[in-house]
Amino acid sequence: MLLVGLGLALAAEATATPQRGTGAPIDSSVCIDGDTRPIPMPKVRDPNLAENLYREGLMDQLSTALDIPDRILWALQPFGVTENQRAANINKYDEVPASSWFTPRNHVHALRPDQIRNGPDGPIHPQPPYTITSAKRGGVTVGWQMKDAADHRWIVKLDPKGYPQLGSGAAVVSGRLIWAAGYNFSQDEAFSFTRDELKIDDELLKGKDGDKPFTEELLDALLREGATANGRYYAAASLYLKGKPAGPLSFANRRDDDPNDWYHHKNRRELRGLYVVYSWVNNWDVKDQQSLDMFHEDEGSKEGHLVHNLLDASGSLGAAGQGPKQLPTGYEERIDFGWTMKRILTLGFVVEPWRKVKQESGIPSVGNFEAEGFKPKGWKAYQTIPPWREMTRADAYWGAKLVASFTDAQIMAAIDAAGYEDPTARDYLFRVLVERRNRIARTWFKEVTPLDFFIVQGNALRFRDLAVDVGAAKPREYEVVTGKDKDGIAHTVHLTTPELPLDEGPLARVHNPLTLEIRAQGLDAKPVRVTLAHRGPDWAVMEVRHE
Amino acid sequence: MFFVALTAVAFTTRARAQGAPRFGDSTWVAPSYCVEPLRDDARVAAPDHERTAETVLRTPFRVLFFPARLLARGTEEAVGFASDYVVKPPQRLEWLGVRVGPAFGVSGTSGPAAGVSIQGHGGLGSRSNLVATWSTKDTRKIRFHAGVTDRRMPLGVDVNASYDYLPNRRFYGMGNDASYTKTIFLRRENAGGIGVHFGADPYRRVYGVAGISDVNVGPGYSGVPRAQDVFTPDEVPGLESDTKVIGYGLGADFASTDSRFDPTFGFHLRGRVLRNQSIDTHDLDYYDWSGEARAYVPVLSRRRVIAVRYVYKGVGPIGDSETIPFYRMPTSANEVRFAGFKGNRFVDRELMLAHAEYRWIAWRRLWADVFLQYGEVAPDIESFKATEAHRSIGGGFRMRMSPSTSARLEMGHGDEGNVVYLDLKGDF
Repeated sequence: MLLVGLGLALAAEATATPQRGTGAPIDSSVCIDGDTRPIPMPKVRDPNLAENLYREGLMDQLSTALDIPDRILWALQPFGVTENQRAANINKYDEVPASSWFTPRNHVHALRPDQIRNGPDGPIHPQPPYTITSAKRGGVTVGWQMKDAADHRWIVKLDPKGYPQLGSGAAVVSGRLIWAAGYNFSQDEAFSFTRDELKIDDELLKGKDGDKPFTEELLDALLREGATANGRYYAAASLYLKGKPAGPLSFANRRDDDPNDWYHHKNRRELRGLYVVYSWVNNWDVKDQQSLDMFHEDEGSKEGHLVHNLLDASGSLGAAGQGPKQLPTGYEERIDFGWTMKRILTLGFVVEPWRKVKQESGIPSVGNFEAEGFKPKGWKAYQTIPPWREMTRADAYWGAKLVASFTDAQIMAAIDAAGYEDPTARDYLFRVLVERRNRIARTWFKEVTPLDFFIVQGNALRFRDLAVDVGAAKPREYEVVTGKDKDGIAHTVHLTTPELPLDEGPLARVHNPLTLEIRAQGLDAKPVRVTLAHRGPDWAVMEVRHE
Repeated sequence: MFFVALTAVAFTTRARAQGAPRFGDSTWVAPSYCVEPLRDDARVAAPDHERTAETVLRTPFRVLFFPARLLARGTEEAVGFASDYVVKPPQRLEWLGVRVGPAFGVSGTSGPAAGVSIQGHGGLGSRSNLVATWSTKDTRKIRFHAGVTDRRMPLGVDVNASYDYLPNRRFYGMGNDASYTKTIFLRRENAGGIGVHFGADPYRRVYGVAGISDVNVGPGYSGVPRAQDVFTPDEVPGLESDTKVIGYGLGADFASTDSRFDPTFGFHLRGRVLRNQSIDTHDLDYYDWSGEARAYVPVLSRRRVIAVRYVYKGVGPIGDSETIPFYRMPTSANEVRFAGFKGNRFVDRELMLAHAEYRWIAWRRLWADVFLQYGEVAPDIESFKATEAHRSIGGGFRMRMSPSTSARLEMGHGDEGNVVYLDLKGDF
């Protein structure tokens, strides 16, 4: 078997490389990354789950631990060497442009709470009666695919027995927040139904595509595994995505047959920054299979482009497939060599952080979820995906910017979308999500100077101090160091507000373009580098870099 | 473009109209300096590549570790292949209630072994399995088990049959002070039996068993020296004689523990007595008994446990029975292995083993452990001397695989050196 595997690996290595980087103009100032050039439908990916878990859960950890060049790069940091490469797909303003992967949403233009409540394709909710059209394949939860009275197609996952609204609530709340942060995410709805509202499609009843017949008895057996209350069954329904499925995206590799897919996925900032977003909602179940690429055909053509979607956050907040999440989840990886070694070497006397906090909410629809022990830099999913290994402080800061942009009302809107029947669940989740958001802002806005959204208005450079804006820091002063002027002198300017007059004092004499390094007082982080240049008579922001 | 992009013009206009909203407010609109792309397909950056200096740094390591990388990729593909074709069997077989898969094994004496495993499931908790393996040193094993048992039913029946062909079974001589000269002999056994138990809980159960065992011995191969060339039949009873016996008897388990899988508090008592009688030309008639006591005490927490175990096994002739052959006597192997010594190192009519360990959770259901053990064999109970017991110390890992099996990977140290072993048969 090993030899077969070796052969397959060699064959995969020999696969032809894609035609990337041909024809498209490059413009680093754009806020839309044109990755939707028409292409033929790529092959449908069908990655093996066991292989993925083995690679990302075990082999990648070993490989990282034994990566000597990484250690060398780390040791060279005092000499200005960076261990990880800067994200590839950022524009001059240190932002991720809109693309088939990501659309800047809440952090650039606050969504209304009702937009968040309604979700990506809403308002829409499963309408009875429901016709089961196919069995659900894969995963640990029980479910099926169905069509509702409005002819909408849904993928259904039952909530675990004894925990109504646990998985479905998590799927909806986290799904809404991840979508509002900018990612493509499915329209997930929490719903309940009675047995009478379910019907099995005639063909499925007989057995189609070589499968066993999906009988009424089988359905009853499936329902026995699900959560019930007051004669109703509880489940999450995920609306079919638009387009043709092309299989899950790969967090590790580009698609060989998609010329639009030209940044290494480990170097995509939206995938690196996803760590921070997922840490917020504790979306611990991250793997290729929790995503789906959809092929959107252009009108009147067989060609089109892929849209990359994230899916299924039912393993988030305090939930897992078969009940509340296990207590170490979110604190330890599935295979966590670090903690395993600590336990072995201390003869089991080390006390892990997840033991020190009370995670049990006592609310069946919430499970095990808390903010008290949440450390934004120490959060762990079940496995670390490649982009997270490459995450820089700037990427994490960008991710924190997405999270910190959410208002309390927006968070409550996402919670309301789940329609929790237990009011204590709503209040509990709100408190925890708000506190986790605040911790993320406090943590990452200290690692990187959180000055952003630079703009020249009139004859002044204005910017926002995100930490001050979200209440993670008190109003403070700023120190600006300019590039050298005509006499070779760099000037320092102190600001009491986030506004720098450009036509006064030494700045009037400096070179064009003008480079600035701006620090926030009392913050031990690298300054933000801003470059301004004259566009006609006015200054314009040419580049922003956080490090 | 398919997405609802918030364009630069809109941002700027609204931002100016509303003054300077705070980031994170409900009215927040970012001021923007993005420009509309000149073409729809303009990209923000060229395809990325590794930094040149990093490539220079990494290249020697990539060359050096290329074989390891290929091996790693190979194992990844192999895991995927196995999950597709082994863990998830072809559907038509599953419909018949049968799962077919490979079986693997490895041991110091047998070498690596491979074969086939067939499992079947029926109603009322009935299940059967057959495992057949063949090793590189010609060890052949076939095990069949069929059982009707269900946690809801107090009564259950098990049927077992086995064929073992061991051309190089270890033998070091009789007694507690046997020499350290390893010899080998051929042991072939055909066995079958039936058991009836009363009690749904395997740890609170009374059972009766009856069976037949046909053992042939002869000169071994796949190793030297052979036992027949080193020992005489006078020194080792049954060295050159085959025997066939039927056996029948009773056994019982009684446990009071906080967990059947990974107990941390409580005790477990186990005992069994069998009477075996020849059904060939020999005149064997003997008892075969074993008794075991276990106790568990948590150390300030359920994730740290002190576990102790005491086992006593023996055979004893009844009336005018002829001498019991050595291969039917207790042997320090499997669940009564002396941890710091080779398997099958000591053989005699009676065996005792005292074992104490401290175990603690290392990862999920994987426990680490350190242990201290004393083991001894003797021809009779009066001959046991505490001063002559063989001491082993060591440690390793333990993981409960099923209600009846714990996998243990450990290293033991005794007077004769260190021994690393993998035990998949015990349940301690």
